[in-house]
Amino acid sequence: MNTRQLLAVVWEKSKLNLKSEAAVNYLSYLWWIMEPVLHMLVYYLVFDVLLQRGGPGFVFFLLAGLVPWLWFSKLLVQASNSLVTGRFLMGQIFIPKLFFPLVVIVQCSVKQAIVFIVLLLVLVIAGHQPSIQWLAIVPIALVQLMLMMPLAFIFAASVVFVRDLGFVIPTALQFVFFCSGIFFSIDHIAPQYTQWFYVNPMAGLVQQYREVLLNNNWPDWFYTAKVAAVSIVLWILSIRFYRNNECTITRFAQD
Amino acid sequence: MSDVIVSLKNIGLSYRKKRSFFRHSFHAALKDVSFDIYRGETVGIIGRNGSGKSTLLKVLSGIYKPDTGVIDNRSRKTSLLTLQAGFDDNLSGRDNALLSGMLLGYGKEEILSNMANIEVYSELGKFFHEPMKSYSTGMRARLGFATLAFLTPEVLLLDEILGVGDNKFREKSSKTMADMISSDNTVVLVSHSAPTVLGLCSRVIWIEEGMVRQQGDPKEVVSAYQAA
Repeated sequence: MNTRQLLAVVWEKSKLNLKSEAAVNYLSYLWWIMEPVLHMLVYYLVFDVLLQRGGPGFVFFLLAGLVPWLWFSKLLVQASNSLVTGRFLMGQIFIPKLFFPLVVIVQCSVKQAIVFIVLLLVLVIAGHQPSIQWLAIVPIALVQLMLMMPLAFIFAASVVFVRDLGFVIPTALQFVFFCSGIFFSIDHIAPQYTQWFYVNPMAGLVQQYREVLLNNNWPDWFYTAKVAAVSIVLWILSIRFYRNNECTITRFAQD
Repeated sequence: MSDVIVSLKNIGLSYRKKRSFFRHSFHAALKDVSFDIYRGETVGIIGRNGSGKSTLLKVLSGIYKPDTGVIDNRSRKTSLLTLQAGFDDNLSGRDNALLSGMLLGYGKEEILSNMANIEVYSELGKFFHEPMKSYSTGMRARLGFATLAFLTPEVLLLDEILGVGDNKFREKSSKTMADMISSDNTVVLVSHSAPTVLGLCSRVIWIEEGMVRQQGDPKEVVSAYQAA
């Protein structure tokens, strides 16, 4: 199977998975919009109406960080189990192992595109003025995708070799969540730690989303490019690992 | 018939079993297997349970890479006939046929151009467009078989001859299978049944404890196997 065939079957499988997922619910595809809307509504009720936390507009600050974060964590948790879940299929037929995490990536990301649109609509309804800078969330989201892909490949492969990591990854992501400034602004961090804070690429990307969506500024292109560059290196390494270990992954997944 | 399409040299493969933290034991499924498969022939592989036949098919289809030895495969496509690979209960028969075919490495257009044939062959009627969770076991098997009936790889690997569905469909599928085997395709057939092997194969390889015990004329090998 060459790369073009692989991508074709990944695309077809993702499409059909989304269809099959939607088929079990009465409201089927409507949930793609309903789920994020309800989710955001809960945050609005809790933080803006009930707790009245963080001052005016805190809930939008929160959502602008939380929406990209949830994409990141959901995708990685699902992808990290993808090879183990796919063990029966890979023992039956030869298929490039990248197939399994790639399907998760495409599936999560298609749904995420809609969540981003819902977020923009919510911001507009809440009275934020759309600006030309909002277009920058497309490249920022693409860089986030570039970052998540190799991480998904690496996590999935590591869970195959050491199953115990299946428990560690969600906890580690929880830790990174608290280090990404979803609930607090970077200004609240002791200044001597700020530079370390940005070593976590998600913290930096969340900051870019907020600059663009809430402050109508252009993002820090240099920072974004650095994340992209690191991602490309991880890409090359992880894809090479998969290419060289196709059968090893199958064997370990069957254990 | 001197055209070698797949050649195996000193193939060995061991399974790893976890014992405890950092401790493993190994079980050698294949120890030292060497043989050639020639273009267009039908080779039978016989052997007792646990002799390494299924592992051998996985090595031939590229699912497993041998730990030792060399496999040289010159075919464009070698695949194990696997019914219902990647089937999803919530999808229709048609979607599943498409997906299964694509997972096996066939192009979308190639499968779509055979879709009408698959639909007719499967005899599923209107169920072809219904989600597969409404299917009976026999209907699933029919869909699985119909999907593969029109997609034949250059080297076909079979783990036992499959007859699926009710009596009438079983007859039809067995006939399709026999046609696949007797055509110009190269076929490797693993079987327990002496009549099947004698009836279909031009050469038989007897595997025992991960080694080739004997290979050659079907009658000779099968009678030696049965005597052992």
